[in-house]
Amino acid sequence: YSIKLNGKELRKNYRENKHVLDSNIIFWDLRAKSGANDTPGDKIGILWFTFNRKLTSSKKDDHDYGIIVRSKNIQMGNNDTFADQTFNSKDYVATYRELTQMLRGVYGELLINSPTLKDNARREWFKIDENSYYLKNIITDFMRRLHKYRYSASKYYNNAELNNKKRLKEALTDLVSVDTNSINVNTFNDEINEDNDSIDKKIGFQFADEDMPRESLTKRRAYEELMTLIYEFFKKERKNEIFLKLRAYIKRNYDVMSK
Amino acid sequence: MARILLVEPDNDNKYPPIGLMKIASYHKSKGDIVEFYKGKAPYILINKMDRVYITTLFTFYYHHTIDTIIHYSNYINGNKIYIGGIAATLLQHDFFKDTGLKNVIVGQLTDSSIIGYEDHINIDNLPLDYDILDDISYQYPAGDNFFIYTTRGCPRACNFCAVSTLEPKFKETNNIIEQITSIREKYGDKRNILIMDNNILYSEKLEDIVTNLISLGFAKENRTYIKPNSFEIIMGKIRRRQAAGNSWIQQEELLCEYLRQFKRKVTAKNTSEQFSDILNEINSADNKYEILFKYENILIEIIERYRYKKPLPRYIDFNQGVDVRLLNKKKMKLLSIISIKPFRLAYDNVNMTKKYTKAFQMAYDYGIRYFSNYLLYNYKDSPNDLWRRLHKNVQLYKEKPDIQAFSFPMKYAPIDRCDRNFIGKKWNKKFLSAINVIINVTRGVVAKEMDFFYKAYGNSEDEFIKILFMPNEFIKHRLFFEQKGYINLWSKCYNKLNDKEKCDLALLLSGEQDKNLTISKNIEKILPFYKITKNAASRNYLNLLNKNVELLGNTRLQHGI
Repeated sequence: YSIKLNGKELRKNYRENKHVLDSNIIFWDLRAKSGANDTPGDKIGILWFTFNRKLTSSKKDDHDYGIIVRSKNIQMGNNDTFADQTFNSKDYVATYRELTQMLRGVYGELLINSPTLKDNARREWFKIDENSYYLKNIITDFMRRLHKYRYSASKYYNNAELNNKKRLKEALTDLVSVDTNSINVNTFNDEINEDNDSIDKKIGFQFADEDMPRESLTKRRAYEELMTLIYEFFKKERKNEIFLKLRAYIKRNYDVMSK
Repeated sequence: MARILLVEPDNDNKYPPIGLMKIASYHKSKGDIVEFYKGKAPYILINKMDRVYITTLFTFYYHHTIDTIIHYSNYINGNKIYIGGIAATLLQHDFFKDTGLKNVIVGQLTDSSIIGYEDHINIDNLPLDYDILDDISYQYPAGDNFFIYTTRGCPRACNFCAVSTLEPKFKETNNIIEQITSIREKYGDKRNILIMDNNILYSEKLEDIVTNLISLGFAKENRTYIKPNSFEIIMGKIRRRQAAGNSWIQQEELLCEYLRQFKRKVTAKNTSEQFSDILNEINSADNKYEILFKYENILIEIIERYRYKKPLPRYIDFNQGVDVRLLNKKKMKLLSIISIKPFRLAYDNVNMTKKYTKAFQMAYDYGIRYFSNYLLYNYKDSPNDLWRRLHKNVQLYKEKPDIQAFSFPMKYAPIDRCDRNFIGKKWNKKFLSAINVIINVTRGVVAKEMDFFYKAYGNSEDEFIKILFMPNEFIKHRLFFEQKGYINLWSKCYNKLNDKEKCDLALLLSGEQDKNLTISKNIEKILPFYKITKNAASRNYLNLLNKNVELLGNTRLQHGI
């Protein structure tokens, strides 16, 4: 996909020494089903997406997530349109909550330009016919791959054993479709690990790592958020020693409770 | 140049899809790009394909297979999808009906015109393309063997068998030397050979077959297999994949990992340093293949010097077994000079006992020491029959302590059904689930040790039936429930049942009772045992049982053990 300005190739360094097209934006080329006599299917649009490669769940205040659907440059639905369509399809992929959750940290657009797909009156989707059904199948398949990727990434993040790494690579390959996007899954995978290690170091669980080092990541994160708030409160009240007592009490009784 | 996708539904199969491997050879010879996928491929892959071939296997995977086919038909025109294989042949009309697709191929691809080509190639005779197995990460447990046929079909036409439908005519197809030589040249040598013939003893060319196998290095006690140089093999794969238009990134990574692991075997100092330098250059290169190609000869030489080259014995596996009714001394003598492991015999009903025992003894006398035995059940036999056959085996094995032998009970499932819920006339659901529980303990195998057999299956037919009546939870955790005393209590209740009550109990436990069935007091006493779980027993929830204990007298369950 070459972008030109005044006849010259437009390239922008997205990261160090990388063109925008090397920033791991993934394209799914969408075509209608081919004809009975081998005529290729008409192009109906393109799906592009990228994701922040963060394996842990994204924060709720990310308002720009998801795949925005545009038909003839008009937005259809909202950030959760893909989740809505998948949830309403005949194949079960995940719960609605999981579907919306997995779109966080994913950014992209589905650009449709096809005479066979007619917008419905509310401009939230297309009129129900075999063409929109076909498109829904494609979206469901995308969400199935994304779900598989998220699930394997989460599993690998919690247990970096070889089989989990293999499954993660497979899931990623299915999602980014290596040969059309020229993405080396192995490099991509390593970058995922780097990103997440550095994210964890940045967060630096100050309280959780000391008070409950063996608990799950989810618990430690929740504990950390709570203790940080409590700490800020007592710091404002200049009663740090009460905070320390409270913290010691929680730690002692939490240990007893969890046994 | 067409793009072809070969698909196998994602079941855990032991053997690779031989039909698809032949189709791959055919299409690659036409210059097409062929890819293999296990399961439901993503839209973005299907979208690019000109044809999709989907193989089918067991009829009891029917619904899963249909689901897979429908996935593909969602994204590609139905005229481009071809369905074939065993289930498609046996249930062709069901596939037509449930998929709406017309290209459901029955039988073997003996002419390419069946799939719309005009070159009239017998695809079924083509060599297998092993390269497609590298397209997926799934490893077939028996994937890296030679798979060959010397005959097709079987004249027996047993009612329970699908071969008479799949391969109606018995015919010789012996071209072993050609098949194996071509595979060796292209893909490298493989250690073992799986002969997929349905009934090889019917062949009139058995002597030729044996001679050919010996000439290929499969004589008994000959150690002729030296594992090929893995570096050369993988480089060969990469080259073939490049030429075929397939992605080879995974193979490149595999090769780099192999070299990293191999490094510690290189002991000479200078060579080790040279090896490390090459490895470092590969690791830091963007285009690793270029570096691998640059140092290919050096690496082959180094690896050749340090790799494991001890000759190993090869084995032949007549995978579909040997027909005991056809085994005689002349044929056995022929078979005894090749290295068969294991020697597979079927023992499908108790009427075959004499012939089976004779065949087993003959094989032993001619030096066979590895046996595998299939026992059909849930067909026209009864549970008593099954016990007798299992027991016979264990007795035979006991007399020959120098053998390794396993029995595999195989549950009959009609070939025209889409599930495994068939229940034989003399069986019931409870017994079948109990057998499953017993067999699952040893992953489907009945070992030869007598004490284990008696413990698992009972000392007699009556005891076997009693075990089948036992709660499945008790069967599964026998020792635990014995120590706790539950089995003893249950046995006391069971022993009070008369024959009619036992029948009624079997119906109740199978969920097949008549709504007018009157439950006797004895059955009322025994039923609560079937609700007990190991967890509950561990926590000593004994209220229900203690009621029974009172009724039975002074027997007490042991607590806190």
